[in-house]
Amino acid sequence: MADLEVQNLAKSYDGKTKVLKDISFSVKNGEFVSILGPSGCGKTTTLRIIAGLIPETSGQVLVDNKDITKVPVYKRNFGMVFQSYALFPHLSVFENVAFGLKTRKIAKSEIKEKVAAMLELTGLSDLADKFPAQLSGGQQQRVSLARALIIDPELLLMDEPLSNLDAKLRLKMREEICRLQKKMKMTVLFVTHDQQECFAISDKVLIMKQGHIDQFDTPQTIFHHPRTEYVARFIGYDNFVPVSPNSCQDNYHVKAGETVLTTTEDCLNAKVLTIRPENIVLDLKEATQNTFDGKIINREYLGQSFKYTVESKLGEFKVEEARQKMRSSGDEVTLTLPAKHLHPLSE
Amino acid sequence: MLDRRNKTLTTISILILALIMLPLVLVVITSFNNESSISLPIKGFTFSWYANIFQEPDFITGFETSLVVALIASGLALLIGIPAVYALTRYHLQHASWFQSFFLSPTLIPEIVIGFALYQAVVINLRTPVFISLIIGHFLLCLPYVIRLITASMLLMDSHIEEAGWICGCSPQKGFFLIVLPNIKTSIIAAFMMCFINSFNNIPISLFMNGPSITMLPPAILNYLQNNYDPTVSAISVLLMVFTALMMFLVEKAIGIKKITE
Ligand SMILES: Nc1ncnc2c1ncn2[C@@H]1O[C@H](COP(=O)(O)OP(=O)(O)O)[C@@H](O)[C@H]1O
Ligand SMILES: [Mg+2]
Repeated sequence: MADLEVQNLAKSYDGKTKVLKDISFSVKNGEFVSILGPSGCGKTTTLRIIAGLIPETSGQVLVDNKDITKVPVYKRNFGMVFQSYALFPHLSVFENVAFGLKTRKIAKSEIKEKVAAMLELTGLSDLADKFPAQLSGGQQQRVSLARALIIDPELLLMDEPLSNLDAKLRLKMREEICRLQKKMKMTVLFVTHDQQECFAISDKVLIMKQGHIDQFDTPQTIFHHPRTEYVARFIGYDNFVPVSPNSCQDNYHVKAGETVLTTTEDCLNAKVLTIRPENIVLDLKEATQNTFDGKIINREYLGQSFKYTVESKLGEFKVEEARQKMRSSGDEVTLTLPAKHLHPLSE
Repeated sequence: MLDRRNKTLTTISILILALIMLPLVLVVITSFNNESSISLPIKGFTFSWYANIFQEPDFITGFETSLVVALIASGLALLIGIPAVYALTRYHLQHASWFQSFFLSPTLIPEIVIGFALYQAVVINLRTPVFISLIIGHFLLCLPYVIRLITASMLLMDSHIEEAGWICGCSPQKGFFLIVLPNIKTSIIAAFMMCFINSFNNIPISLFMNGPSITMLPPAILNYLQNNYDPTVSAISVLLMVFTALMMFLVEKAIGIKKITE
């Protein structure tokens, strides 16, 4: 496994519109990095350029500081798991997994040994003689993973590998991928549009928006300190309070309409403030700051909690509250936005 | 559930099947007639017309030439057609649909015109040997079948499996043989069968190249029929049916489509 570095990558399919604009990031040896973003933002394009399946328009891809941008795909020594699994339909499970070793002209006895070990590791030993058409989605996924890992790739690329599985299986496969990654100390680049999935398994997450990187950080940092409104929206910050222009009184007080709001982070360049629904408190008696009146206009049942829509002078707020008390539409409440959860965003 | 035991449909199917089978059955019956004309009902039973086939040198050499021409033309059509289809479906060529129509165009022109045109241009003007012209004509006859059948299965194949092969360390050239070809095997066999049968049975194109030096089987049969109206023709037809069926059976067995489709 190896370090990956992507420098100033840009891509245009038609010579006019840029699908990727100046993408730069690096993945360290043994790191699990996810690319997260909505459909069409350029995740697959990025992955395919790194794999060498399509040419870049400009920029470089480096592995262990060596420029591999012009190295053809079949000489890159990467592993890749496709969304459609892309198993070879005419080959058995064993032959599918052995394929990468055969093209590398490895001795038959060694192939047999290695494939057997890999099938064991991925729980496929009993299926060695089956053909892809005879396997379930989860099993196909595993074969695809085994086929990618057998060559001991410098980098494992995965393009939404779990999106064709049902919810339960997805969770199981996710854990399995994690286990294998830790065990084999793999460097992984994982593409997904599922936020929960990627926060659960990644060391770092790269959030993409229309061909550029909006934030590249650890899941914890992104979760607590989203850099832009786009990122915040993507990871479940439902409430956005526009800040009045040039209303910053000092670095921790800002005006929204006529209301002064306090933050614990520097809000000098803030355009909006954001807070997660579960961090807003209703009817907090000892509240002294960031508190104002509202009226409940809608209620949703979420199982563990209720989600209310509250109307106020600062606009509508989504508030999530534990199940013990149930409020009804029309109830008058006071909202408190705790300063430490109120994040200023500059874009 | 659909009710599949629809009486009307069953009757129609049987009627159509009978209509197709009837001439074949008649040919088989008449081939055993001991009278020297093709007529029904037959008076007695004999194998002598089958023996008679081998007394006609035109039938023997005609069979050989037709077989060789059909094999070469089908092989050539596959050899050129498959890469052409691959290029048309995998690379985003400009005017791909134009090429597609071009390759299929021989089907639009009556074969007799193709035969005549080839005779005029290739044999008379370019002085190409007749045998080569025959191959060219039959190749043109076969190509559209290859293009059609292979295009269909190439479009059905997930193009990611090829990419997966490259990622596994296979060059595109090697991947074509290790991944693409095995996955379109069934339609290659089907295309070969269509080519072979059509070339082997073709009259219009062969007719023009039928000279003193070269005899093709179908024109030979036609020729024989003009001079002798006897059941030898029925007998050779039966042999050809058996030969074609046997050949298809062997091809299918040898390449074994079953294994993958199971
Ligand atoms: N082969 C292609 N030709 C032209 N445009 C493409 C091609 N593949 C993707 N695109 C365009 O590039 C953009 C990014 O696509 P993609 O990388 O597949 O996004 P994602 O994987 O994030 O959903 C989309 O607008 C898509 O329409
Ligand atoms: Mg994609």
